[in-house]
Amino acid sequence: MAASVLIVDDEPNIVLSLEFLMRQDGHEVRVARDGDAALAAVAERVPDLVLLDVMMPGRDGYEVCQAIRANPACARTRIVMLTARSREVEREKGLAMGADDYVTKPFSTRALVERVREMLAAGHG
Amino acid sequence: MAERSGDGGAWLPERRQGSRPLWIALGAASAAGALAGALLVVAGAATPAEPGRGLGALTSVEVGVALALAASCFFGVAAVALRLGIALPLRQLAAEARFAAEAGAERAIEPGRHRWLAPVPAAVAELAGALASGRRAHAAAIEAATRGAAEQRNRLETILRDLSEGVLVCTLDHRVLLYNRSALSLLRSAGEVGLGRSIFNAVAREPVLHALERILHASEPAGEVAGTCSVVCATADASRLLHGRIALTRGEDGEATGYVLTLADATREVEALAARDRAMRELADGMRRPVANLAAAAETLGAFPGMPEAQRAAFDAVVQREGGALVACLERYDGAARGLGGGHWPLADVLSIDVFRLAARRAAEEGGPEITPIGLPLWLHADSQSLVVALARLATRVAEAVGVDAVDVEATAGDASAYVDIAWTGAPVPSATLDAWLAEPLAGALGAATPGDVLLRHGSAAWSQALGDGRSRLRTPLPMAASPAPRDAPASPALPARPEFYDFDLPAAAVAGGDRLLRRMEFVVFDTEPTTGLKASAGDEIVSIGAVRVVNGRILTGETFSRLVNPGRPIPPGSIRFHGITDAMVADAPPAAVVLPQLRAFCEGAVLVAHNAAFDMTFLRMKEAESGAVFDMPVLDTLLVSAFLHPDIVDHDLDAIAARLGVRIEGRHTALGDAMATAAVFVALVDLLDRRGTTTLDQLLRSSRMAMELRARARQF
Repeated sequence: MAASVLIVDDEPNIVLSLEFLMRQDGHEVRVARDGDAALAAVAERVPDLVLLDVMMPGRDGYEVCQAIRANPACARTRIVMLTARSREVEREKGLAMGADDYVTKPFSTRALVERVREMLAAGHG
Repeated sequence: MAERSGDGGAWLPERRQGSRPLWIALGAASAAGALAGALLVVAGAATPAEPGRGLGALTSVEVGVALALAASCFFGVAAVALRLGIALPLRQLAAEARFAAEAGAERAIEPGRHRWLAPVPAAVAELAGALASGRRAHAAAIEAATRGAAEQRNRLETILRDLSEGVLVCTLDHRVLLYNRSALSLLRSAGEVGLGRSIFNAVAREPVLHALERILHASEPAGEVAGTCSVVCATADASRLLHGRIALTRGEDGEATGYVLTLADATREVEALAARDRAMRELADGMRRPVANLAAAAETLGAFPGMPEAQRAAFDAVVQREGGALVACLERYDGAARGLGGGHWPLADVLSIDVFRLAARRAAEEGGPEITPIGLPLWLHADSQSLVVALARLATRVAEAVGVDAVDVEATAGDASAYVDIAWTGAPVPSATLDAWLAEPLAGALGAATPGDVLLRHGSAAWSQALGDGRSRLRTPLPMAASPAPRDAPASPALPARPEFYDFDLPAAAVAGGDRLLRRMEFVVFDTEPTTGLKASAGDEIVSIGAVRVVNGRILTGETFSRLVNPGRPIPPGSIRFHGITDAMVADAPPAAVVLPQLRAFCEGAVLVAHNAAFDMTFLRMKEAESGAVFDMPVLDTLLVSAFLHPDIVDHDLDAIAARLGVRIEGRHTALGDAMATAAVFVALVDLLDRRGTTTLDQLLRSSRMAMELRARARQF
């Protein structure tokens, strides 16, 4: 069964690539343009993995992360944070808030696809 | 002649008695002598030769001889009288006066003994008296001035020693009159710094001369600090860049006598600035080419959708390659910027508890929550003032949002940084709420800021997370001080272990309230330093006591007890290196009889804890009668608790236990520092006990007693 991936990012130019790459790799993909849409999507159906941008207007990535972690139904959901903030302390904050991985933009698309594949395999295994 | 000698000799005993004025005796003797001489001459001339001749028949020769005789008699007697009555006493007086002058002996001159010369001796005695009291006043003035000068010198030395800036005082011809330790360490590598040597051995000449010229010949004093000028210069060997100030020193007449140069190492700041500039420039230059290529390729592709396949592939390659170049350029810049650290905001080493105490006070003033500092104090590298304001604000916001009126603050050491946590009972703060707090303007913080700005200055961020147990925290990582030891901490010597003490009076039976849970109890962890620093031998006394409260498993960092105690006996010099306490330090300290009741009040309602507790209890019990402070509460010993938990391990030294439990302890050189360290170890031990099923006070007291008996028995073999 295809894994479900939720892409949460307000920047269409990166969503274009992410959506294409995830579909290409055989995942079932949904896209949310902001934090509220993300939580609505999660409420509708719990995804296996969330690609979560940190910097978004309204609810930011940290808040969405906090909300997903507070939801017991999402215990098996993996969260990969994508962010334009590169400071070490931000990474620490992301992991402290419950993210499973923290990827700084710009990133290698090939490496990201690989990372997502690994996490989904571990989650199902 | 017999008559004359009789007359003349009559004043001798009188002189000895000193009863008649000299001049009367002298006059009488002279008159008597002259009269006798004249009579003899007259009689000799009249009787045998010309008996019929009367007095009127005396020849002029006879009269002359008689007169001469009389005169010689007079002068002879006068000479003796002068010698005995004036010359000798004068010589004596002179000697006494000289003695008075040399030795300052006020009482060397007794006016009564020189009646003949009166009132001269009296006047001289007065003079000697005035001289002596003048000397006393002079000596007192000198002593006072010396004391004042010594005080001022001490003060100046303290200031100079503790300044992180280098300070050099120089004459106008640039010879060094005075320098401090920081100056030496700044300049040592560059050249010789020494008294009387030219400052230009170590500091580049031109910038200093230029700055002096600017001060000396400035037409108007610029700004408030007249007579000073900032200076940026290099060391003489150009190895370091220095920045600082020059100020003239002036004599009483206002003339410049020299100058004071304060210097700090600016190499790092200047290098960081230069590196930042370089990184910025490289970023702009590095991006220009790939951006241009990328934009041109994208535009061309868009403008000519129908271009041949081979041509299109070439454009795709350009897009890929230049995209890669942009990423590389950005990563290079990011790496460089990261290496430059958090920025230019001045940070200093500060003890976490000081920040927390101030934040607690500020929060209280603003109607915020009660802030309780817990845990071991930690040295942070921070802008203390801004941090205090930001912490107080965040604690207040947390309390409002969560609906609590008390929070804990604690600093813990992480791998790369220190974590400052605000902890409370309740849910974590939503990320968006926290972000809003971080963006609020903050009155009172330096450089008009928000809490977020303050965190940014420290290269930090903040987040809130649940802790389990129904509690949550707000965490901010902060830079740790580079060196964990505070500057004035005495070099901690390798302490010989205290002998182990056992107190078989430990209660074997259950104590009142012994069923209370250890995790929910109140303890006072304390430590004493005895005069010898080693063992409670005969006549040994306490010189300092430190204690800290531990409530519900939290070390209340802000609730400590720390007192020096006057032992009422000299501290053996050899033991000062153990506790660092000197006779002078305890001279004004109260005695144990005053301090122990204060400690007793601090311990009210708590169970006592100490490492090797029987040792400390010996002192407290010894003084019970004298101080009236009876320490009859249950006592726990971290040594015995550890021995109970790890019976197979021999070493239950505090440091060894701490290392085993992964408790990081610092500042072990005072009674309070040791009490804190013991508290940290005790809290970790209680955690371990809890997991092993020893949860109540009774259980622990029983186990401790068992451990003690085993240990004492083991030592017999």
